[in-house]
Amino acid sequence: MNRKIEKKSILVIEEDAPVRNLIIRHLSGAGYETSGVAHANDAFRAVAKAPPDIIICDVVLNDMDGFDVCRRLRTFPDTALTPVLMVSPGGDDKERQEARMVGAQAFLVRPFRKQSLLEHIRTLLSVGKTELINSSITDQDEETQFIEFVEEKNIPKSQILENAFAEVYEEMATLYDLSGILYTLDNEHTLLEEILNRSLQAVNAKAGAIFTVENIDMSDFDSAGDTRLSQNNPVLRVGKGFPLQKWMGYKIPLDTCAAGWVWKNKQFFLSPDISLDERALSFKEYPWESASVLAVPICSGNSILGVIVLANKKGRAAFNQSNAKLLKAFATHLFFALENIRFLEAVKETETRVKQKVEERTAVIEQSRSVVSRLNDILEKKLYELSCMKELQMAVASLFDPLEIFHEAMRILNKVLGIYGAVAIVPEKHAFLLEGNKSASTVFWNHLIEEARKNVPRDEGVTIENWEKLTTGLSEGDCCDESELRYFNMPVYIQNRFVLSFAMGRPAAAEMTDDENSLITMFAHQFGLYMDGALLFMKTKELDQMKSEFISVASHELRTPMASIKSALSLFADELLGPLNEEQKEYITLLERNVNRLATLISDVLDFSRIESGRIQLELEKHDVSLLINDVARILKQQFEERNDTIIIDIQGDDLQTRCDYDKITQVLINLTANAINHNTDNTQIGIGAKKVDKDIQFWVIDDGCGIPESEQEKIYDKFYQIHSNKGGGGSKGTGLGLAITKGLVEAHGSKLLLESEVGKGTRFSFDLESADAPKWKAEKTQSWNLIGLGVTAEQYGDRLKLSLKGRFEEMVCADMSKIGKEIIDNWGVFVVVELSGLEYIVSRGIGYIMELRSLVHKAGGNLVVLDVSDNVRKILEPMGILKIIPSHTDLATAFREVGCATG
Amino acid sequence: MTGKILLVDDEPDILKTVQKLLWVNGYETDIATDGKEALEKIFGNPPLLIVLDIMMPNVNGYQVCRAVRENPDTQSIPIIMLTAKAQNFDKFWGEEVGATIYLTKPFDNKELINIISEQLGKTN
Repeated sequence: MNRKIEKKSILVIEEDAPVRNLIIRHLSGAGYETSGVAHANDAFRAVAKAPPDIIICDVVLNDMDGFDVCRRLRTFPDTALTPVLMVSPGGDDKERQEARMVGAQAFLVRPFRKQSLLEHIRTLLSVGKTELINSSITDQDEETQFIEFVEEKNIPKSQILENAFAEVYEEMATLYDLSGILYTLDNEHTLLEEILNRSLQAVNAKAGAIFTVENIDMSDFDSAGDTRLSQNNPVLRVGKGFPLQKWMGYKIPLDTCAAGWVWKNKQFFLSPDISLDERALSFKEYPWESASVLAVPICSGNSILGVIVLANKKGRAAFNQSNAKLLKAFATHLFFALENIRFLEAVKETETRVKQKVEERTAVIEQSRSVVSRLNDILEKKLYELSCMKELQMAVASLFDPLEIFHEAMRILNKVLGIYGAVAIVPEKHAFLLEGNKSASTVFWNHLIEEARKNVPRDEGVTIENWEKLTTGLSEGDCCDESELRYFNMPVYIQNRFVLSFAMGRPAAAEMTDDENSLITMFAHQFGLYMDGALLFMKTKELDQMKSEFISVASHELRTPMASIKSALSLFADELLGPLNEEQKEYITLLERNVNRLATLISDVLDFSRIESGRIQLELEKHDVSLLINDVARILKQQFEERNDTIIIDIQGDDLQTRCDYDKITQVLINLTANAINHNTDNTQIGIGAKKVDKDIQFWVIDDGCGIPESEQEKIYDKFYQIHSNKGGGGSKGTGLGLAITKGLVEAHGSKLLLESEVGKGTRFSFDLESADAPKWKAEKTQSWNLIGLGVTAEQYGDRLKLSLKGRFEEMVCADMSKIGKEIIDNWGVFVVVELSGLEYIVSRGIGYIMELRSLVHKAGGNLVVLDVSDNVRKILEPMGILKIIPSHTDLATAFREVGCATG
Repeated sequence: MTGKILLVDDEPDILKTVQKLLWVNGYETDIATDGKEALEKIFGNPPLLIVLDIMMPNVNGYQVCRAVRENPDTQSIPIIMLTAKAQNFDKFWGEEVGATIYLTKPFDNKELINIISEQLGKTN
């Protein structure tokens, strides 16, 4: 048996020369004696000449199928047992199967690495027949036993070899089967059971058990080392044939049994009869009944995962070395399969944990997503409602005609909710039966109106009572025969006051949703608000008109009789109607004094009314401040002297010019100065002055008198309020309107009357007027009319106006309506001309624009010329006191002369 | 001084007192109770001076004034507007149509006499 020292010979049957040469080079390099052939027939010849130790055969050959070559080789006595390595470019299961069938021991998929080729070769050499023979050489005892056994049985040598081959082949097949199934199992317990069963079967044992450490901690997995699992004793996982149930799951006691010995020593334990084994003497559970025991560690290198223990009772075959070898191979396979499975489990667990986390997160995200979506819905709804309300507001905010507001509201309702038509009924004096959207006139509309008219004759007017009658009629349900319609009656209350009732309809098919209901309620309320405002405006307009009529009538009617009385009294007093005695004279004087007072009172009241109604008309012109103040002082000279007061005129700066209504400002200064005289004791110092402050001229009237208590400072402007005079007995002679008028006149100039006063120290009234230094006011009297022309657009208006007024005015601007406002007032004029179309545009834009125009006109001195005018416009503007109407004049120059504006 | 002063007013009380006042002061007067009658008298026999109310039936004071100013025979006659229309705008318009003096009711007897004598002095 000295084959051991011979070089192993390998025959390579490979058609492809480069591959063949490569293999030869690899193997020669590794110390094998290698030869190669390209064809099967050459191979057979080579084998016949010198049978090799290993044959490497390609599956595909030119002259013969590789499998057939293999099959054929097995029939030659010299190569029947020679390990064959099949090489194939495919390597599918079918080929592997076939390779095994024809007796190839190994299968290598092309292309292969050098390492893997050499490994295969080594494996084949070690587990093949040579390995068996080698091992028997190394183990002298066994070799001896073996030879003895052979000699004893007198078995022919060829028979021995056949048996050996059969045994080896059986082992190979077992291991091959095992490896085929091991990696398909993913359950550790199933794996262990499978291994145990196969082990028992492979070595023909009756009882067996597997112990393993319970878990592999994944954190240990990276830091491979010999101690990594040694802290844990393995526990019994599966068992068969032993009464082991009570041990299941328990840790292995190290010193109690063969398994513990194996675990501790990391060596296999083979005992033909454990009851006679010395090693077993130390086992705690000794004495064992007589049995053969084989235990191997489940290990690789220094890592150990557990132990496989097999036992056969006496009477059955004892375990031998080859059993041990096979079981070791099993254990090695199990080691990797276990690690694999545990790794996979760990991965799976991690995966599950991750999946669970992901699911949790997903749930949270879903939840918040649904919240967001709900919020979005709400937001969207609110936005929609808001946009509807805004649309309504935009549409009607500038309107003041209830009917127009209603039509706008209907238009929006129709657009937003598909409302067909509606009626709104407003109670009280301004009762309307408003008609719905006529363009969407439907059966509903006709029915509704018919119903309404039936119940409430239009000319009777509508009251709350008969509106209720009407709505009762409406709410009977099937509101018309031909078409299924639904309608809603919505009474609107504002501050608990019934404002209007609102009924609308639309096809019944379209059910009202909650959202729509809330929208319509909101809408109705808004509508009510605007409607209320519009009605209020109408009422105010009427009142305003009545008031201005009263002023106009009172002005004339009061003055006329007063004139007769005063004049006649004067005739008496002057003794033009004959001499009077002293007593008569005294009473006539008394009469005259009181008539004069009455005349002043009437004049004040009318002035005040005019200021209050905004009908005050200013003649704004450039005036010398010094002249103005000296005039005031001259007029009041007598009063100063009577009271022994000192007057100080204090004009700071030269040639101060202001732009104002001379009479009005004189009246203001006289009122303030007269107050200073009348409300203080004799010998008061009174100052009248003016100075330039920025672009304005500030006027003031100051005294060092008794002052006005703070508590009274607000009240002094009230109508008919009289401050308690400091002069004993006499009382003040005023009407109590003086300061109210003064304040009104100052404000009519676009200024503000300011008061500073301290009791015991004195009082200072002041106000600012526009300085007239600005070059744009260079126009002289009667030619100072600067002009603002207002049309819908500047272009539309400009040319005509410019042409007809050319050369008549110093400066002129034509503006479109959008420029109404401060900018124009600041930069231009005192006189406003509005073309009819422009004015109607203003009126149509509603109250806000009218107010703007009014303030513009007001600032311009109260002059508004309207060229031609429609009844509609007249009705609206006249009561507001801002209109001087020149009807049907086409010639602008004449129009201007009519209103007293001299032109050139 | 020859000729009369024409008083135009639809208010008999005013006419009566002013007529008395002027008579006492030595002026001869004639009266008209509306604008139409006034124009007839003015164009029939032009007065020395006209005291003219504004608010009257038929033809108002502004119209009378304008008609007087438009006629060459009468355009230099002083016209004193004596009216209850006391607003600036009325006054402005009055002067614009040709009034010499604009006086608001109620008026002061002495002031009226002064103005009349001044105006008549001027025309003389």
